[in-house]
Formats: sequence, C-alpha cells, structure tokens
Amino acid sequence: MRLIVWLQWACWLRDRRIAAVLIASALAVIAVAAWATHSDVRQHKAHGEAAALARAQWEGRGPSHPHSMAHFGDFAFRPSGPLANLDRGVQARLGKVLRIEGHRQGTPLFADAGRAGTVARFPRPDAAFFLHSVVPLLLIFLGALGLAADRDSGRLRLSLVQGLGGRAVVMGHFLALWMLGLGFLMAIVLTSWGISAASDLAPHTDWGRMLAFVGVHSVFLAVISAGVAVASVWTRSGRSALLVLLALWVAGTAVLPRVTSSAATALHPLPSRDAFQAGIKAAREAGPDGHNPKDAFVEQRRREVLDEYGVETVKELPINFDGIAMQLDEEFANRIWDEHHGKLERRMARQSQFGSWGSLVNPFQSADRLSMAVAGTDLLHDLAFLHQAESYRRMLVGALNHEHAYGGSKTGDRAFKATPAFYASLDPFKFTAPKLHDALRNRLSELIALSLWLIGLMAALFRAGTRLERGRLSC
Amino acid sequence: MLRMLPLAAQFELRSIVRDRVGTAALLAFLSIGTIALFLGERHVEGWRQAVRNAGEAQQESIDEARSYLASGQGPADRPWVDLAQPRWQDHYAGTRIHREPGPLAGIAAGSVDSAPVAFRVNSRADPSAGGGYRIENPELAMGSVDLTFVLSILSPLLIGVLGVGIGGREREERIDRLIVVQSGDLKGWLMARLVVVTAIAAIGNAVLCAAAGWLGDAGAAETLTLVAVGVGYAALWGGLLAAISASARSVRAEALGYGAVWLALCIVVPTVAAEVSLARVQSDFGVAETLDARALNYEAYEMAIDDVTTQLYARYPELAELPAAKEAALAPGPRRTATGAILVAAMAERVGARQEESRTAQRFAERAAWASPAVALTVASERLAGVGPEAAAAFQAHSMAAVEARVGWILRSVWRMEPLGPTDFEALIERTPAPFRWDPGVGGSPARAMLLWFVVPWALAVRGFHRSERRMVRSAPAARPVHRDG
Repeated sequence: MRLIVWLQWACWLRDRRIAAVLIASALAVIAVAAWATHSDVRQHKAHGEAAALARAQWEGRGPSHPHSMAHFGDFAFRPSGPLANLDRGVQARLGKVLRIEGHRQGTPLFADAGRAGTVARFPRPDAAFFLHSVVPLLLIFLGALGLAADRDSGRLRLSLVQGLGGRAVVMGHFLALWMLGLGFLMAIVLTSWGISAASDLAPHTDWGRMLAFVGVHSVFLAVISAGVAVASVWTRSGRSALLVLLALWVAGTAVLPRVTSSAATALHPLPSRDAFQAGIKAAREAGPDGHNPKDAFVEQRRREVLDEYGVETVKELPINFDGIAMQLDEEFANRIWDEHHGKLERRMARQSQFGSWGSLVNPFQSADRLSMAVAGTDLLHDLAFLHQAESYRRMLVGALNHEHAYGGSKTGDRAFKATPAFYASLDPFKFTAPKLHDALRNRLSELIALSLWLIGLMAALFRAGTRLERGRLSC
Repeated sequence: MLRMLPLAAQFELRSIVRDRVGTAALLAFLSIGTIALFLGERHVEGWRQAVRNAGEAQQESIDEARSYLASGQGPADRPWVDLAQPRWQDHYAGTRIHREPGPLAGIAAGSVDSAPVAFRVNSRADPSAGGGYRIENPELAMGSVDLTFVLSILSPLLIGVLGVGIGGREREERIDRLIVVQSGDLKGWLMARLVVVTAIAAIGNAVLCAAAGWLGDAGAAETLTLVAVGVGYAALWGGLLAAISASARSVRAEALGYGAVWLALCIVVPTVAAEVSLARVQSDFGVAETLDARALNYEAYEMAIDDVTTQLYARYPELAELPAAKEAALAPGPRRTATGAILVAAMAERVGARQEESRTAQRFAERAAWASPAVALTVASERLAGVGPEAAAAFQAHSMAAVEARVGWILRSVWRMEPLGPTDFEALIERTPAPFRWDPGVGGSPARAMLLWFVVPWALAVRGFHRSERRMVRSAPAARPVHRDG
C-alpha cells in the first residue's frame, strides 16, 4: 500500500503541470494563512487600543454622580475569536461595539460587512475557505483523474494480476489524497502559528482548539479523499467520476448551504428589529420608570423602603432612594430583556438546528460549522459575547445604583459625587470564550454526521476494493 | 451561421431532452430560481410590514400628542411634559422617514444592508446607530438564495453543463472534418450551437427576471432592464464558453478551461475583492462614533457660551435676528438646545465621513466589477433593487438631512421665544419628509464592465474559430492525383 502511495505522489510530481498546480496551491494556501493571521493580529491590536482608550475615559472622568456615570456608560468591544486567524466564521456580519448604559440594552454596531460595499456579500478567503472549498476541488481533480489514468493505462489491471489486493489499491489512492490534504492543512496551521509567534501572540494560542481544528479538518479531508476514491472506483470512467464529483462539490459548497439557510429563515422567521424593539418598549412601559417620581411602582417601593427604615418621608431616609428607584427600573427591564431576547435566541437555535439537518446530508456544511465552532467564530460565541456584555452591564449599572443609593448621599442630592477610586475599582469588560467542549457539544450533530460520512465512505471503499479484487468492477 | 441556427436549435433541444444531466441541470436551475423569487417576495413583505408598523407607531404618538394639545395638559404621570415647547413637540411628532421597498427589492434579498427601513426623526436621532431592519442569525445570513446569486453563480454553471463539449468533442472524435464536408462551415455550425445553448440559458434568466418584475409589480422599464441584465449576463458567459471552445482540443480540456474560468470569475476574484474591502475596515472599532463622540458630548456642555453661540450663528445665521439672540444671556433651555445643535453638526460630519468610506468601498466594488462579471452583475442587481450598501448609505444621508432640518426648526422655534400651539404641531407633522425611494438604474461601471465582458470573449471566439478552421484546412492531407493505367 505504501508503494502505491509513493507511486501516486511520484506521478503527480513528475507531471509538470500537476506539480505546478500543487506548488501554486501550496503557496496560495501559505499566503492566505499568513495574510489572515496578519490581519487578525492587526485587529487584535486595534481591539486592545480601543478597550484601553475606553477604560482611560472611564477612569478619567473624575468625581461624578453615579447615575451620570451610568449614562456616560462604557463600550464592550468584541474581540476576534480564539482561532479567527484560521476561520473567520460569521465575524464580518457581527457588530463589533456594544454600548453599555443604564436603562437600555443596545445592539452591537459597526459590522465590517456593512461598511465594505457590495463585495461584502461574498465569502472571505481565509484558511478555512481554502480547506473547505479549494483543497477538496484539488483532491477531486487529482483523485478522479488519477485512478482513471491507472485504469485507462492498464496499470490497475496489471497491479491486480501481479497479486496486489484491490483493497490495497483503493486504500493507497485514498491515503495518497488524504496525505496531500493533510500536507495543506499542516502548511496552514504552521504558517498561522509562525506569524502569531512573530507577532508575540503565540502565548495566546489555544492549543486545545488548535488540535480540535486539525482533528476536524483531518476527518473532513478523509471524507473528501474517501469520497473521491469511491467515486473513481465505482464510476465507469474518470470523466464520469469528475462530472459527478464536481456536481457534488458545487452542490455542497455553493447551493445546499444557501438553500438550507434560506429554508431555515423561511420556516422560523425572526421578527424585524423594529417589531422586536417595539415589543420590548411596550412591555417596559407596563413597569417602573426610575426617572419618574410619580410612577406607581416607584411609589409602592418608596412606601416599602420608608416602612423598612421606620420613617415618614424620603428626606428622613439615611440613604438615597433615587438609586433604589433606578435599580427597580433596571431589574424590571432586565426581566423584559431576558424574556424577549430568550424568545429570539430560541428561534435562532431552531434555525441553527434546521441547518444541522442540512449538515447530515452535506459534509461541507458539517465541516464548516464545526470549524467555526472550534475557531470561536460561530453563533454560540456571538451569543456568549452578548450574554457576557449584558451581565457586565447589569453588574456595572447595579454597582452604580448601589453607590447612588448607599454611597453616602441622601434622596434628591444631585450634587453627590462618587470618588474616582470607586469608579476605578469597577472591573472593565472582559470576554471569555466558551469552553471548547461546550462549543463541540453544541455541534454534536455535525460531529456525528461527519463521523458517519467517514464510516460510510470507508465501508464503500472497502467494498469497492473487494469487488475490484473479485473482478466485479471494471479495471 | 444564421442559416444553421434552426438546425442547431433542434439538435441542442433534442440533446437536452435525451441527456438526463442537461435536463436535470435546467430543472434544478429553474427550481432554485423559483425558490429565490419566493424568498425575495418574503423579504419584501417583511420590509413592507416593518414600514407599516412604523407608520402605526407614528400615528399613535401623534394621536397622543393631539389629545394632550386638545386637553391643554400633558400626561398625568409626567407633568413636566409641555407641548408648548419645541423639544416636546419634536418628541411627540414621532415622525419617521419610511424607506419604501422598490418593486425589485427581492432580487437582492441576500445583500448586506445596514440601514433601517424606517428612521424616527428627532433632535437626538443618529442615522448610523440603528443597524439594519432585519435581525439576522449570522450563520444563516452568510449565504442565502436570492435571484442575484442564481443569476451570477448558477447561470454560468448551467451554460457550462449544457455547452461544454461543443467544439472539443468534434475535435476529439475527429468529426470536425465530417462537418466541413457535409455543411462546408464548421465555424458556423459550432457558433450556431453555442448561440443556441446561450439562448437557452438566457431564456431561463429572462423568465426568472420577468417573473421577479411581475411579482414585485415593477414597471415595464425596470422589468425590461432586469431582463436585459439577465440576458446580457448569460450572453457574456456564452461568449466565454465560445472563446474556450474555439481553442479546446478535447472535452476534458474544454471542461477544465471553463471550470477554471468559472472558479476564477465567480469565486476567486469576488472573494479576493471581499478580502481586500473587508481588510480595510477590519481594524476600525468605530472609535470616532463611540469614544470620540462621547468625549465631545461631555466637552460640549462645558464649553463657554460665547463659543457655543459663535459656532451656532455661523451655522444658522438667521437665529441671530430672532428675539433670543437679543437677550443679555441665553437661558438654560436655549443653551442646551444650542449645544445639542452643535453636537448634531458634529454627528453630521461623522455620518458624512462614513458616507465617504461607503463611497470608497463602492468604488472598489466597481473596480472589481471589471475583473469579475459576477461582481458586475451583483452591483447592477443591487442598484436595480435599491438594496445593499449604496442604497443604505443614501438612506442614511437622507435621514441625516432630515435630522438637521428638524434641529433647525427646533432652534428657530426656541429662538422666537413664543409658545407653540396645535397649529405648529400640525405644521411639524406636515413637514415630515416624503418616503425615501431609491432611483433604480444600472448605468456606470457595472454596465460598461458587462458590455466589455460580452464583446471581448465573443470577438475572441470568432477569431479562435476562424483560426482553428484555417488550421484544420491546412493540416488536411492533399488530394492525391489519380493515375490511370492504359
């Protein structure tokens, strides 16, 4: 079998045109991996600078009223995913900046895609794009024409006559293709790691995710290599195999992902932004308004606090009731947000679940989704950012309201100013990506689908080898 | 060639019927196109619904304000609301600029469009802070089926499936000489076959485009323009196939050549263009609109009043003639309004800078259109549909102008120092800007690029066929003289 692998490699390298294509592809892959990593490093630096500037502004405000600081607010800047240099996933479509403010939950703004013109609707050529689209195409051309050439030249028949097993022949072709694919994968990973190391970002490399990335793509490339080998053996000629495989490639990379996305959107539509915000606004109007002293909910809470402290008027309170009213408003708004955003997320989850069904029939989709999950650039990580930013907002505004209420001022005291040390003691926003096993658990169906594809195709490959041996397939 | 067209049409139609791959490809193309039309219609309906909701919200706000004006009192739980003041009339007018969907909006439903479809105009509104009207699942938004995708990516594939082999097969199987003997014109026959295949794909495109126009209730001019774009696009890909077919020695070479061209023009060049364009904005975290703008907001309220009024009267000179300007010192209310106006002016500058950024990105897309007809078609479709970055930027500019006009109205009302009444409120509503309508058209670079992509490949094909025929004639063995004995 080893001999067949070496023979196949030697054939490719001896053919000048194929060797040129392979070298050009390898250089392109390395260039893309280097460029994607370089631009990720730039984004990483810009993110750090923006976050540092925001923190400097926050700490530089000086003595201020806590509620004034709640409106001054903060910004949560979305960092790129842990392996965004290898797979940028959905990042271009996501807003990168989220306003953190009292009373309101914002929408992340400044998505790259919204500012890059018409061409932003096309995918970006990152390392994952090459591994999911270009490398399979290369394997299809080499594989479909390789085994066919053996058959057309009579070398296949000769090999079998000389006592080589059919299984060994097909496995040899499979291994030759797979190893070529793995070569491209390793070139990408090593280039990416090298550029990161040169930019002092190597210590931040998440090795678990890197290993998972290599693992997922190794399995995917094995599926593609096995599929190509199976099609080459089972079809009558190299031309038929090429036609079938190219049709499957077009369907798997360009048509099916879009069709399943569109079907998921049609079956589980999301509300328009206006409708979603109008729903939240209407629900909030039914609750307390912290800025309105005549509000019925605020009035009820005021009575409770007065009873608690055993006094008649807010002036007699040793605390500032306004801060309590603000927190009352916040807590109600948080419940409304949780309810509405929860519904929205469940709907998105149903859409993604529908997409997972598409992954069952399309290994390209499985690999794409698994790759995004491992790289930390999928919906799960987007939602994790939103949840953590919202938790940060609640923590920040809660702490400010607490200072407003219990920091030493009395009700109606608008001149009160908390110290800069207090503001500096509040931690800045820091995003922690979900754990790898959570990301993979979320993509369990894709993981199973890809494994089933591999098992099924390997079984078909063995069967084809056996039939070839017994002369039931043409050679 | 013309005389061979009927025969070539018969031949190709029979081939499609007999060849299961061709039939399946044609049916799949039309089916996906139909799905795209259906999804486009859903998109437009969602858009219309969002506009209707915005209209209802506006009416609710106006009715509420009218009831306060009629009773002479504001809301019971907010006694500070006084509709005699411009800021509260501004708040309750609730006026929105609607962005009406164009009749062909559905054809580019998958485009990136970051503007809302209804923008609430008031003195604090920021046109760039809302995001698009859709809440999207980003994993699904990365790829969706719309007519632009069907035309730009799938129709060239259809032409490939139906037409690859024309020319290459004749040379590979050596029947080119037979054709010369039988018809005397190999070039004419092959060109006629290619024209027929192109026409089949063009008819497919035309049917889908006409259906899109009919479903969207588009006018004849818009529908015809879209049909012309669809037909022209098929024609240019027919030309590319013909250019490759003219020189291909075998079916395999022709298939590989056409596949490589499709891959380069529909996948590689657009993705490289996307990379270049996205890399330009990737490191931009909107610091100008967030951190810088916030710092400016807080600094503005600490500015000396003379600095505020100097800037204000330079921008709105008519205010200097109104009663408030004659006062010894500006009251806190007008001062707040003046500072707000200065901040809106700064916001207009930021929106202007983003508009320029958007124009730069679009100019790059137009340049990319010269390198890829798929990009040219996408730009043309978005311009016809009124969806996408250009239309979004135009709506934001329109919205910003409305905000500035509203701020001007508030300033003039405050500076007159007279309480406002119901008539002023009705006049304010009357002044609501008309719905924004995108002016569809495909002129400019995309149209010129498509024309070039049409002319050059067909010219190369004609030249290639001519040369290949001459080469074949030259290489044909000379007729041997017949020797007669006796």
